[in-house]
Amino acid sequence: MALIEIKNLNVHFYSRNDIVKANNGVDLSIGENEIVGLIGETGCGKTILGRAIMRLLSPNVSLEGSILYLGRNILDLTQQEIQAIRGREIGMILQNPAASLNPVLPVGEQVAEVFRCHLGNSVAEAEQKAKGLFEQVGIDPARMKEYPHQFSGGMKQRVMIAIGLAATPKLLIADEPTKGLDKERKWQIITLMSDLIRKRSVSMLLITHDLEIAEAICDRIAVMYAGEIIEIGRTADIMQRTLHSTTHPYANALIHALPKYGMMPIPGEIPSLSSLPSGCRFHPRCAERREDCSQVHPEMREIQDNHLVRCLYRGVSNEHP
Amino acid sequence: MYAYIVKRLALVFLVMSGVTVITFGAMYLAPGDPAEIIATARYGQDLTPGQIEWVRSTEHLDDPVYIQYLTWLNHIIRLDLGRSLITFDDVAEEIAVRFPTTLTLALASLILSLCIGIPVGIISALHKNAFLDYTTTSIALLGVSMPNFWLGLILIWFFSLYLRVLPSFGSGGISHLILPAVTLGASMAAITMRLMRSSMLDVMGQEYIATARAKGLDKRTVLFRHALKNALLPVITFSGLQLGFLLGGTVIVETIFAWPGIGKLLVDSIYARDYSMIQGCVLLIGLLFAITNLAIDLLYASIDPRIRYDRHD
Repeated sequence: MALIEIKNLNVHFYSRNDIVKANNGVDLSIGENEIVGLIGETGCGKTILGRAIMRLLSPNVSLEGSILYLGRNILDLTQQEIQAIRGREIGMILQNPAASLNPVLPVGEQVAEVFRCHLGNSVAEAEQKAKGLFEQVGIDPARMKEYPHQFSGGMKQRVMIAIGLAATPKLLIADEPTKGLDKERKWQIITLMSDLIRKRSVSMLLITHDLEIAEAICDRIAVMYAGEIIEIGRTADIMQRTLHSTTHPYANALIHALPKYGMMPIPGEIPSLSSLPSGCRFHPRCAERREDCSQVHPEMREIQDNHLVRCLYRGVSNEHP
Repeated sequence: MYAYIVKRLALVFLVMSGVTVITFGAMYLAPGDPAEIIATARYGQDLTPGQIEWVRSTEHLDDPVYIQYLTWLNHIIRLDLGRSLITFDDVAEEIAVRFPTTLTLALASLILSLCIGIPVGIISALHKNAFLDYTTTSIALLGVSMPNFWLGLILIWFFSLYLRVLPSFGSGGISHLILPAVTLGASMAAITMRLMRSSMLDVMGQEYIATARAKGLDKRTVLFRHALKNALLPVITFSGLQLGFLLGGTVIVETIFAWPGIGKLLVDSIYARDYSMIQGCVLLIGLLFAITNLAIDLLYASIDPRIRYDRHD
């Protein structure tokens, strides 16, 4: 059984004037010991999906569909049941560590409280364990009494990793863990994270817009666009470099926007989640669009083994008529 | 932290120096000849030039100004504030009698406003835009809108004249304290509540609260361990300023309830042109402001580590 199985998830936010359709018909599963990358541009709904799994969304949200964690639907859980899962079964690293640590509590305490909350440890035990964890994430335990503002960005991210992994959850959701870090720090953090989760047999949902990182450590990659997953498959299948390959035109464009593959910008703008385009959501920006792309909304199709694409023409035999 | 305290204390010293200069200078900025003013206060309107000159020499008013200032400062430091020009009472003694009364009223109304404002503000924030929120917000608006003198009179009418359960004036036991404290505390409680509500809402929307929730902490822990400390900071600032004002005496409320505090003393002294008493009161009020602000700064630093460490100490 998959660890997490998301089926037909719709996450919509209702405000006075409009409805923000942040996630639409999302299907995604994460297996045990698997690292799944969720990639896409800023504002495509990646973060919302990660937070939906933890039920950490604002009260004006409407959630439809199901998020099964080991067979239990997270959306049906009571407040107490979801609290028992948060941090214990599913850990989370929120984006922007500068704002995600409490400025008035010592960093050691912010890690130790996870042990006290979930494992019933005493104050001394929790502190001892936090000490060990600080060593593992590469922070001198002598700094546990310090406050977040005394830490650099990379060090704060290490604290966030320690918080996320403290209770050894089965799944870690990491939202943009490398945002704002320089290249060297970025790879340090990624190596550290992947080492730690492999060692502990933790699965990970890696939310990022950095394709290089996703390619380096993910088993599978899901590409998100305008609140939809438009492609999902093994990393190697997604990261094909040739134009007009079997990958979705959007994923293809993302790959070719990378500096090392030509740095070709994607034309047009990201659509607003409150007024989505008709038909294929990507058609206004797609270099390969055809007439019916603006009318017919494509469904996910399996074009290779375990490789699904949401495009009317990819993988169809008459692709280039 | 140690360096921070020293720095703050140095600032208090600086402020107090300024206060003494201004207080002393005020005597000279007042229209008329100080010697004549003092003589008028003592001997009435029909003065002979001899009386004025006698005052001038006995009070050393013919010395250079800076000598006068230093002499005066020397007395002040030894808590000798001189004698009232009108009653010849010792100013320091008079203030020492009045101040505890003001302090009692100030603390009572502050505690009252915090005990109401903070919990109601939190509840209101947690039920944002729900019935409870609208109700408390409406009551708060009412509290802010009611002027002190009006609320004081209404309370006197209801509790003293109609129900006859509480005394309407004077100071004494707890029963005397209730009406003035409620009068002063009501609007403060309303402002504290609104401040607490908006600050709490702001903090609850912060990412570190999402982190706390993502850890699986229960609502109580998220609220009291992670949100409250951060949310209290603006409330502390406001309450500190309020306390500074309250300690300086609240003229209107002290007058309505005939509460023998500093505010009433100051106003009476101003009417009587009792300069030495005015000086004493102003000095005390300045000192209290400086001390309250010092206390607030230290409290702030004890809560927020960024203030404690950030100054390259």
